[in-house]
Amino acid sequence: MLQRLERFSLAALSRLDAWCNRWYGARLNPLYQSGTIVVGLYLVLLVTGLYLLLFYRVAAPWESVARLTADAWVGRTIRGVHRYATGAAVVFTLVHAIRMFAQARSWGARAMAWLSGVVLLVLLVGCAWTGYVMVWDVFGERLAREAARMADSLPFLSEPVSRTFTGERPVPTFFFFVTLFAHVAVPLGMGVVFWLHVRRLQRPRLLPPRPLLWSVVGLLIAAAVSLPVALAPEADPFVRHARIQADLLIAPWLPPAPRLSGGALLGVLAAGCVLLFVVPLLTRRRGARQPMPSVVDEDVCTGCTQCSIDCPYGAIEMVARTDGRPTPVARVDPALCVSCGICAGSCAPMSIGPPGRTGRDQLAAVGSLLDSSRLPPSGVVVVGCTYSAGAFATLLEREGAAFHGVDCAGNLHTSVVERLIRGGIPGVLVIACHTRDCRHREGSRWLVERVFHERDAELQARVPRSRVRVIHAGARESARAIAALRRFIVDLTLIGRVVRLDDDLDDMAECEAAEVNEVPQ
Amino acid sequence: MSLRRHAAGLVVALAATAAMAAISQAPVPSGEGTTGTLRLAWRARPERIERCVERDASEVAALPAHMRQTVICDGFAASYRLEVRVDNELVVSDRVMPGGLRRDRPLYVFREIDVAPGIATVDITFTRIEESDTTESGRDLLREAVPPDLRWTADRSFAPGQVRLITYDPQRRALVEITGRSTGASANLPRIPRRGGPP
Repeated sequence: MLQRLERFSLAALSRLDAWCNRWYGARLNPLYQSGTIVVGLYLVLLVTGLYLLLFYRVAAPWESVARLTADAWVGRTIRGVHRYATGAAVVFTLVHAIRMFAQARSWGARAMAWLSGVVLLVLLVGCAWTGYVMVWDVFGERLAREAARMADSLPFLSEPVSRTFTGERPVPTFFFFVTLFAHVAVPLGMGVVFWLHVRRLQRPRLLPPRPLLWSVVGLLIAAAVSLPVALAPEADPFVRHARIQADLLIAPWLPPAPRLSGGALLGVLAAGCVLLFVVPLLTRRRGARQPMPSVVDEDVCTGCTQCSIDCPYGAIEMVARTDGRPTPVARVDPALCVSCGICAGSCAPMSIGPPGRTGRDQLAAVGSLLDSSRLPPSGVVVVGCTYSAGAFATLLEREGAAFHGVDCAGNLHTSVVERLIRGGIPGVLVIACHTRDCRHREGSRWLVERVFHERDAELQARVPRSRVRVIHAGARESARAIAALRRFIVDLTLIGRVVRLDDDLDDMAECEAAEVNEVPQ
Repeated sequence: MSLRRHAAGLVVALAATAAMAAISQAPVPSGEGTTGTLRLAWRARPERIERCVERDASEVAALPAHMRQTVICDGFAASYRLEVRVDNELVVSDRVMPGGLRRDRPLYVFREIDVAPGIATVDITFTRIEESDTTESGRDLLREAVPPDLRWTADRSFAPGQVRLITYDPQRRALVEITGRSTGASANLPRIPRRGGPP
């Protein structure tokens, strides 16, 4: 059931990704950058929050916010940006979580990132909650009352918290002071959890590309100016409003809440949190479906450290050998390895990789492909990431190409490309996921660098780059991939390569070393 | 990327931002405010019900000098029956226990009752459940314990969304109604009760 939900989410997300790629390009696709956008919004919230803090008074909360809102040019705009940034942060956090869930990146070595992400979401919503209560308008008072109602359902509070808001006595200033303290302290706590969130990542990218960051900020300012945040009436314990202006991004449960008891409401929210927390257990692959971590052939390992550098999860460390040889040897930590196979593509002597996906295994698979099939009609072999190109492999084959799938483009050893060219294939088109959509974070990036920028293990200079092309496409971008394939076939025809090139191998060294088809992002 | 796609992207971004802004301050039914509300909220010390035993002289003499008390009392905090009638219809009948695991803490009442808009006769009684042989002792009065029997009756009009608060006034030792605004730290203190008290 959950895996059906994974597939459904992935299909929906892929479609949205494809649309956004058309509108914004893959580099500025906000869905690919959801995690980094949240960090950018966090900074926006900090800056605008510091400004608002200067004007907030715990002794007169609503009045101070009203005064701030009356300043139409600065105060109201900054308050609007602060509020809309909160909503946007929730939306992008959910997009990020859905992507991780849909791509099955929520379990195993990534469970810590998932769990800390859930904590961050809870803290974000909790912080927004306190922010609304601080204003002490109708919506803020309602949130406070609902929180008190839930707290009252707990058996260890002898005095009902709800009595604070009954009107028996004024709400104490201390309450607003504590709320303000929580509103300031929680984001600081989020910083610590965020460190945990990215702790296991190598080279975490924290901020989106600048054009995207400033576009998001610009949109928030535009929204704050053109759709200013209204200040609801001040909270009055003796008046209940039939309709209130509620932030449904923060409290979607609010409209049906009165039909539930405090305990039931708390139970529903707690169950939602628990469900999010147990996702790593529910989505965990077991038995044969569990990918095996990489293994090292220590006899072959030269100690070059490239696999350790390239591993996106820091799962490989170089340790001293015990056999007396002077070079270090790679050692994989199975608890951190997600079996992405990127190390297999980074190892020139092919000494490391997940079982069945090492460079040697890939060469063997390609060898059997060359032995078993004739030259594809178009003369092109498409090596594609199964997550993206695998979705439209039949369409590619209909265009006359032969399709060879790999688990991740970053897994692809460049010797495979060379082997194909040497085996008489006129052109090799590699289809990788978009750089920011790589399930293994850096697979697409390393692939391009290995093919065109001499990153170890690089594609040898003797292989003419005109016969190799790398493109990026998502699972729903078959048209783009097919168009690229057709262009490639035409280009190959133009350079007169669509022949069986047994005698052409000698020319390889004379070919230009790098004809960069697609610059890495 | 063509200009057309850029324009489409801009339109989508603006629409998404506007939708997010709309959702973040959407006027929604609050699920309340269509009826009047009668709110009962108070904190009070319960009476202490004690059973005392008088020792005879020989028992007292047998004790060490520092333990020679002639009267030994054992007791517990009383619980109360809260009943609310609106237009003679019983809408609440609850037992209110003192707080704390050992039931030795003050008791708390917090109930909110929906009342149809219009004029309603409200009758609230708060009566001690346990029988006691003794009348209120001076100690109970000192502790400002709630009296064994409280009652508040009145005809009140309820408008949709209006909240009427009935609370216990420890100075007057009576149930009273608090009206008006008393929100926020800067607000005025509750006004003097308009009406109410024990019968």
